[in-house]
Amino acid sequence: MMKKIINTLVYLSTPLLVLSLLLVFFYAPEEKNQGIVQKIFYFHVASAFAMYAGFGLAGLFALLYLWRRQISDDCMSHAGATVGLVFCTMVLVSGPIWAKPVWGTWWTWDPRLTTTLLIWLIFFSCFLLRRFFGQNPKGKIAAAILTLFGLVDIPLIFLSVKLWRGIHPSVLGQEESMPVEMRITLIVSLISILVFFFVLYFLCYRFYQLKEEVEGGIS
Amino acid sequence: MFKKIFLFVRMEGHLFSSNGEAALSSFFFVFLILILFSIGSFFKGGATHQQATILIWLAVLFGAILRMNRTFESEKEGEVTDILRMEKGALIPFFLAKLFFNFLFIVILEIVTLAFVILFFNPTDLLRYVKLSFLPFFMGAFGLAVIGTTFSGMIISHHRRDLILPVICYPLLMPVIAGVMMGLSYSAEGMALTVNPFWIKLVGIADLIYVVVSLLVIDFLME
Repeated sequence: MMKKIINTLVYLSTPLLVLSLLLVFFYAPEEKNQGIVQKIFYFHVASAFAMYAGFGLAGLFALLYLWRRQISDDCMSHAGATVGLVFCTMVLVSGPIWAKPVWGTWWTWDPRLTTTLLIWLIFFSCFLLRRFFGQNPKGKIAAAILTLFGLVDIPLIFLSVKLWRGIHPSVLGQEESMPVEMRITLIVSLISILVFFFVLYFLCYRFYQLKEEVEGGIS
Repeated sequence: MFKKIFLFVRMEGHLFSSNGEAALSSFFFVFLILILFSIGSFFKGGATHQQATILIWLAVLFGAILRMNRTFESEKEGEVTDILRMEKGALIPFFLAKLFFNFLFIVILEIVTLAFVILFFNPTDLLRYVKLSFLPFFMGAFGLAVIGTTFSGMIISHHRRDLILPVICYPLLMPVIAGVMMGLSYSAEGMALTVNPFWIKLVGIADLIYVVVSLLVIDFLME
């Protein structure tokens, strides 16, 4: 069943990723002021959505693990945190590449940038915590709790820009903010990256599940 | 509930006074940090009040973690936490008593560090500005105490807890650390915190979130 899901997602994500690349480079117009570097936007925003999906799933399954104590929930949470961390890294790397020519600096302690980095640090510490505990069941509980702490920080990211004006732009939700070609390209990029996210997520889940079986954590 | 909290606070008070070496180590560590800064001649001709307040906060951050790591030292042996879990409604007062003493300890550590900083760095006009810095220091101490107490309980039985606690605490404390440092910078410039309230609001929200989540997961922490 899992193999079937993964295969279907792989078959779906490959053409979608190719299509989004074509749209980004040949269909979406070049932004007048920022030039070619603005194309990063499509991957940056889509990666941010995938990051939220990963950390959201990690938090949801961490909660379920604390409640039901099923190893599969822990594997789901672990997979969400891992893939979320990968996409968070992509956001943090692509952001400065875009920021340098536009803002004139690689990094600024803007609220949204700060909170994204904070979440990366929290989930990286969660990753380290799991390594410290190894197969000890207490490590799974500790990781679940730390994940929940990380999760409650995520709304701060959304709130920070809205409530405490930073220089980070908030293009989504503003009807007039971009031409229709850019909007279509962004939507296709979002879908393709999210499908790709689920490919990685289920692969990662399967990996952790097999690891548990091999190392005796599951019967 | 309040009676239970009072009983646990009293018990914790006894434990705190009888187990002074962890607290002493923290004071000593802070002292060492300040000596290293002083020998390194980072602030030639005396530190500014801004540098002095941030130095106090950083020294406290590093020093307090030593004491945090020993929060549940007395309960490590035997089955104290198991018994507490069986007693209905005992865990929250127990946790709050631990939290109270950790908070108290950090506040004392901040005052002692302030004295050390005055002694070593001869900061200009520090005492005049320190009352403006009271709120960031106070809120920072509370956030540090909540996270330190919570996660120290979680890793109580791990043999590498000295390594784990800073690794998991500092990232979680980042909004508190950054917020306090920014708040201190503004107050050291003689500005009221209302001039740029973002950072102090961030500390307040983080403190609130951490204390609520800690109380919600307290049962799992003590497993």
